[in-house]
Amino acid sequence: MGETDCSSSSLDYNLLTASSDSMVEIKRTDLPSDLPPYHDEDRYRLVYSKSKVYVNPTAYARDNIPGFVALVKREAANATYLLAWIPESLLNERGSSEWDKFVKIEEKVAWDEEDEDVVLIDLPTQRPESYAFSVPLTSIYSLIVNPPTLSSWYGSIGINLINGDTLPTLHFHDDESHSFTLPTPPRPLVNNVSSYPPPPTHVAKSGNSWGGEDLLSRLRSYAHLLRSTLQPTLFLVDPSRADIEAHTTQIFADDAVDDILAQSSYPNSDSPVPAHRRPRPITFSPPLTPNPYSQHSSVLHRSLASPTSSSSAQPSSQARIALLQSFSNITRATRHAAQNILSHPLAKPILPHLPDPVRSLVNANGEWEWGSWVEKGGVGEFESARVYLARWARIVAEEGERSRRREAQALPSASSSSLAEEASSLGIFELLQSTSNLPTPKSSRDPTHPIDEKMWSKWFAEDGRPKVRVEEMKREVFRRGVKAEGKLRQTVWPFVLGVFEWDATHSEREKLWAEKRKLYHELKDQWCGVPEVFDRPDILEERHRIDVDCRRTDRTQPLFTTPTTTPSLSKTSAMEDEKKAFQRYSTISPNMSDIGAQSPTNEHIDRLAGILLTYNFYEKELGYVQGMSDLCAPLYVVMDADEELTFWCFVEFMHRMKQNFLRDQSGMKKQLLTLQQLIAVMDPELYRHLEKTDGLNLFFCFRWVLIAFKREFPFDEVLRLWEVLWTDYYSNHFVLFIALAVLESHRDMILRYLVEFDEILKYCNELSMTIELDTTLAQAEVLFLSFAQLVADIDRRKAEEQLLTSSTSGLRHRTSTTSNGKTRDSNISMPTLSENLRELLNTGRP
Amino acid sequence: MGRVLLKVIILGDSGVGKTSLMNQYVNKRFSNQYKATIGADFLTKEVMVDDRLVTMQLWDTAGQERFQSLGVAFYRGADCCVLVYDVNSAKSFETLDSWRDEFLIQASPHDPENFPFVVLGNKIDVEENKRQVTQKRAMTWCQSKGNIPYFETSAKEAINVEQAFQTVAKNALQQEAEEQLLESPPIVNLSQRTNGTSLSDRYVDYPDPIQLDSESSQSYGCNC
Repeated sequence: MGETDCSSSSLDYNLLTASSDSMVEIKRTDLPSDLPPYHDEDRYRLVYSKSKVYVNPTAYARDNIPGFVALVKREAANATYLLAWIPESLLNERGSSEWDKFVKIEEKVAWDEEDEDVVLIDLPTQRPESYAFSVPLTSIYSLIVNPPTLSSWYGSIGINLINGDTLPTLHFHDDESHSFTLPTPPRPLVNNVSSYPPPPTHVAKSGNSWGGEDLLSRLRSYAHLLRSTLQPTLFLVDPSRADIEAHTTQIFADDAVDDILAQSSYPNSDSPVPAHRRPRPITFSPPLTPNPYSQHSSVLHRSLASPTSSSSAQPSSQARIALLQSFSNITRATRHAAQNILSHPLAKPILPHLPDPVRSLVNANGEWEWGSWVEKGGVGEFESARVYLARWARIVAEEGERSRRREAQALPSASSSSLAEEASSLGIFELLQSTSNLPTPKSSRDPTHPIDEKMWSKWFAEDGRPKVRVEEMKREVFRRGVKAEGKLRQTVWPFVLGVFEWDATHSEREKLWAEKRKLYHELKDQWCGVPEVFDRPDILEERHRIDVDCRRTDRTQPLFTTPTTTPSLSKTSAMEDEKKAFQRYSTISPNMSDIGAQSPTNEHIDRLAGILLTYNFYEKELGYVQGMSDLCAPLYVVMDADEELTFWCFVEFMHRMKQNFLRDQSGMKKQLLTLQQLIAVMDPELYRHLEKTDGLNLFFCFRWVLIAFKREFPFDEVLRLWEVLWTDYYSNHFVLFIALAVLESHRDMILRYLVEFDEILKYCNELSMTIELDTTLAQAEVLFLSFAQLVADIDRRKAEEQLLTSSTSGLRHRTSTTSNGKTRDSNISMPTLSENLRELLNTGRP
Repeated sequence: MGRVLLKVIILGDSGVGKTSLMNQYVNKRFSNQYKATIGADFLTKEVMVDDRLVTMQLWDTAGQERFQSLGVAFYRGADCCVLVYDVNSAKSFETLDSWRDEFLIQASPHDPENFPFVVLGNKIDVEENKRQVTQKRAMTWCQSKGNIPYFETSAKEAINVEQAFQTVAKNALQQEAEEQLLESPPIVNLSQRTNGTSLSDRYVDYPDPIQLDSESSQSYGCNC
């Protein structure tokens, strides 16, 4: 078995596609040109198939692509086995018969090499957007196997090829998969159903616990799979001797990951987990009804099934919904959400599945012993457990929140109140209401109705003058955003950013624009094609900095993905020479002597680099600083590669952001200090916690603030966020309220679980691509309004007090000491507002 | 006694492959798509060193010198510093001196002369004719700085990465042990610590909270 020939030096793999997207690092792999062509007469025999295996190109569930994972035997003189993933959409195109083949093979329980019932398939043709792939097993180096855990509902398998490429990670949605929802053939039960817990033997009989395990066990018949002892999630495929040696050193340690892995996925007797490390019996009772959640799929599903199915035939999904609902209630009602979640009676079945360090915190009654944990914790012992727990609690809370919102949407009357309700979970509102009895503000945003071309054109008269007040237009941009489809943003952004005057006619604007264009080219001509400037040491250094970063900025955007085709060096006429000389001194990257080894560039990346270099000649003090390419690239994409527009939009954007990039970092320090003061006023409890954890420097917000959340949201959402920020509708520093909103929605987790600076940093960094934009923007708006109310309230009370003291000053004159003391006391209860904080109320730019 | 946590700082010019090396070592994967690191991040990995299971915390920071003034918050309490350069870029090699000096100033270890560094010459998978720094030149520099261990690596092809970080772990553990010898009994500012069991208690130098408003922090001109 698996005696396939892998001696050929060129990698014998036929990668159908591997496209890339902004979210996951799916590397584009070009089809090797020296691939031996597959002949028509090659027969591909389907030997194994599993449905509902997803590829997730982005972090959004809506983008997930369902498909089949399959093992295919290429029937040739020396047979090759291929691992393939085919999206459902591709199969659909081929009609139902092709689809049926995959279903048939999936349903087949027993399998036999010599089965005469051979199912032949066509491997689908290459299609860049489909993510489909098929690779010979011999080209696979390793598999990263992540069984379902508490924090991820579905298990996954990542595939690393020998040549270093990584294929799209496969996610096994067992609850949808045919083979896992088939009614299991009746088997004699050793025990009476009512006994609880059942003997562990039952587990072993139920076969593979999740889809990935199923695939692995089949793969074992064609290749040698070695589970690494260095990294328990790593499985080497047909490992070399050196790898075998490196990965079989036995480590005797209580490794939490290993433990959870063992519990969730290797109950079988042929488990690679050494006997002494086998899981304790998993306590769940056999289900009475064939239930999609009962035997397989994620640990949470399985755990939840137990108490109900042992007593009645209530579907576990109901129990799950009930649990999630109660979670969501808890998150809204209390600040120790996660703790309460885990001491909730329904959550008890989950507890045995927690990793050891976490489990040890729960006493016999299922209650948390936080104090003892902290005491025992000591030197980082439970550090990872804490971050794990916080992350997990967040995911559960979010899932609960989502299901609550789904329900709310089903009832139209309830949906409008959901945002206000959400806001009430924020710590600030308790403070606001308790101190000043102020009403809770509401968000005005309406992102589902973005500004479209029709609305935009209605705002302007024939001659180009606005018919609507500028503030009004900005407010609409703030509330709705600009339609993403089409090119409207290209029109609107220069206005919002301030490149174009709002209050002007077409012809006035055109005149001003002509001047700006001219200025741009004057600036560019200072270096472009000027060897003595272009190769000056300081410019060389700038070019290097810019180039290195542009080559790794937003490379998943279509404009930046394709590498340049190398120019032919055939003819060298005088004109060609001149052209080449010009290119030599105009293109930032290709002819640098000391650039090191970097990703390949293309014409758009070169142009982006050119824009950034030109900015150096416009703003001479700053120099290129890391992060600027992140700010410029989206402008370039939205301006559809228009160099001049991109440049001037960037100039205006930088006008807002410049302070972040100052050489002495004073701008960043000021912003983080302001955020720190804002937290102190808005959420003193969080402030005190950060103080205790050495977190007041707020470095975990550094990336958020420096590049306006560019790395925290997917590309399309960054565009939506930025246009909101640029309106300066409420505040020139609205970004700080967004930061506050993110922190506030995670404050419970931070307060409860994260007791060290590095834990908070890790937690915040990992929030990237998990934050819901519109919720966050709504919360930020509400936070701003609350802040403004608070400031007004403080000012009013101060004024009243002054009035009081001045009117009674005659009387108090002689008893000064005590009364002064009292006055000071009442001042202490009111937060003092720094200049920085008051600046937050400013809007509009000088 | 609890498990040992070793703090390792990875430094070097931007684009030399700090993030890639760290990810290859911890996650066993490589991507061409890593973006420039903004701020700081870390990964942890458990390793066996001399029959002891230790947790390594690998800190990855931005490569541009302008952001190094923020580094002090991350450098304190480091047990080892990894200096990375790109063998195809002479400049990235020539700046190793200043990276080393900067680290020693900011981390202010007890015994700067003997603080463990490890040097990695990365991207050796690139064609030979692009190479700008010879092995000999790099090793000479390492010897002159007190015999710093030197590895030539490729994060892309996973060459020497495991070995290099094994040495990092070993030297860091030794450093950690020496620090603890120096520190016994540990001097802990109890008034600032209520739970008394924090990570930072292990260091005599209790990291001061960063004063965001102070003008005192150093700024660094560019190297040109």
